[in-house]
Amino acid sequence: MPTAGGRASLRTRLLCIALLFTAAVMASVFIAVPLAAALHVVLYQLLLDVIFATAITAELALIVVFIILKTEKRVLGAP
Amino acid sequence: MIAVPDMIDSALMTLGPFLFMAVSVIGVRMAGYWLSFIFFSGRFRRREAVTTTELRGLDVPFVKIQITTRGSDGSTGVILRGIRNVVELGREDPAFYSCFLSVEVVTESADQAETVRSVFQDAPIAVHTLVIPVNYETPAGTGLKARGLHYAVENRRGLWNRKPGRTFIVHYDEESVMVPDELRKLVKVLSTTKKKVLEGPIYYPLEYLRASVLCRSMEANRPMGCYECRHVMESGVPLHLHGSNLVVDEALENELGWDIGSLDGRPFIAEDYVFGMNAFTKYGRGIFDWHGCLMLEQPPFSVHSAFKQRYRWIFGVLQGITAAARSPRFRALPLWTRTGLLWGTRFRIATFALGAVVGTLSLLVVPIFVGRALAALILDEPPLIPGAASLWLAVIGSMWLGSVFVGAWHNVADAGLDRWSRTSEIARAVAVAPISGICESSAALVAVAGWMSGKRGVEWIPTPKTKQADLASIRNGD
Repeated sequence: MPTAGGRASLRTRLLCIALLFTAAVMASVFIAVPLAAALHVVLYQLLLDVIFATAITAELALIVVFIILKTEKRVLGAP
Repeated sequence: MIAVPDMIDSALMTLGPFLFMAVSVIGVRMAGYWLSFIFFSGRFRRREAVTTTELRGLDVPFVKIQITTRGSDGSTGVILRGIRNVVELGREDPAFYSCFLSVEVVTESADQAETVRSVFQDAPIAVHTLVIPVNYETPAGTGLKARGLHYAVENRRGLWNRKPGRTFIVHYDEESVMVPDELRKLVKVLSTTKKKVLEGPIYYPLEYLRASVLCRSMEANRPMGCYECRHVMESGVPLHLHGSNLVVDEALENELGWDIGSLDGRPFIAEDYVFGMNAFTKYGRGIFDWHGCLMLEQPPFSVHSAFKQRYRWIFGVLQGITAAARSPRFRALPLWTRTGLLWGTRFRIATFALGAVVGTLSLLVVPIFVGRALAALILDEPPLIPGAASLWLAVIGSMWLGSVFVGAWHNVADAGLDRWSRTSEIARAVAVAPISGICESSAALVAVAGWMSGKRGVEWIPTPKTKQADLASIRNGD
């Protein structure tokens, strides 16, 4: 929750980071690992597989965010 | 004696191919709404603001906002919230808006009608109430929500709240809210459209943090599904029609009515689907369209309520397609159209229910698959499955978690949270998606299993609209 000064508390930030990490683990399990396995057929190098899989996953997320931002328009205003 | 690794291999060899096929079927289904999201997102929402001044220059139709309710515990508060937003628009220019905008509350509760009347007696726009008599019966013996909807139609046919010109009914659920900005956009769309049945997107930010974590994650699937609603409405083939944010030309609604009868003596629970199918078979695809104005609603508070809600959806659609297949008007449609409607709907239901099986098996198989895939990568061993199959799984994983991500983003945008909390909520929805997905799709699986075992009846118990009503519902076993 925000503090009296309107800033998020340390607890909120830590919770956010922990949840982001958990979500990233989920994305790794269901997206990045199969993607790295697929890339391994072409690249044959673990480090390159991981880098490309992570980069592709991140780029996909950015594309999705870009499309959302084109669609999104908050209707209730900022808190 | 069989070694543990051999057992695991044996399980993978048995379950793996089935799971791959099942996941692929679901993937094809998800590709449908992703195509809509990627290529037609610009048509999903209306972003350009509309002012009252602009509306004054248009030939605006009469607009009646209809809230149809059983009047159950906790519903009055959320109904008042929805009406207050309409009244807020009316306050911008009472003389202008009162000429064409009104609210109609159709309820089974006389007390609720009285409360609504007293709260809005001095409102700048008219707020009418209609109490459904306890002994009211439609000619075809329609029950549940459609009974109330048809009672309103019969009253309108009898000139109740009659308006002298083109009129649209905007259907709300009890908890629906359209803010003035979106209502203005809707009025503008309705001023120019020639279509008669329109729908728009629904997000679920209201009372967001009061809902359980699993419910919030379940609800994250719905806005993404709405991208497909746009395609459904624009193509005019009503594989799906939701009962709120549904706008119907009053003349058409009066002609068609909601007297949808029953199926083998059991009332329909998905009156919206049946109405859409009746409208399609009678008037064709040209009457449908997407208005793109946003409605806000709230998620169910508990997994119990969410499960019941999903159960009713699937059961209702199963009732609907069975009734449609028996209808003479449906049978008169071209073979290709009939096949598309029936199998399109069955495919949607099947993939929804299949999610429970896939999700549960995945909890067993995915950790092994990931462990083996990582070992193969690190030790440079042969891959567990071919590269193309791995790539396809990654694509399906992206579409699945991506849809939760998109839906959660839309839902939290208006949930009144600061940036950190919004980010947390999106991440939380993604993090619990495997569990919430199983909870959600198991309701579909139970509904399909019940239907296949011959069950035909279902109760209309609206999803509780307050935390207290939800707890009471769980205690009563509703």
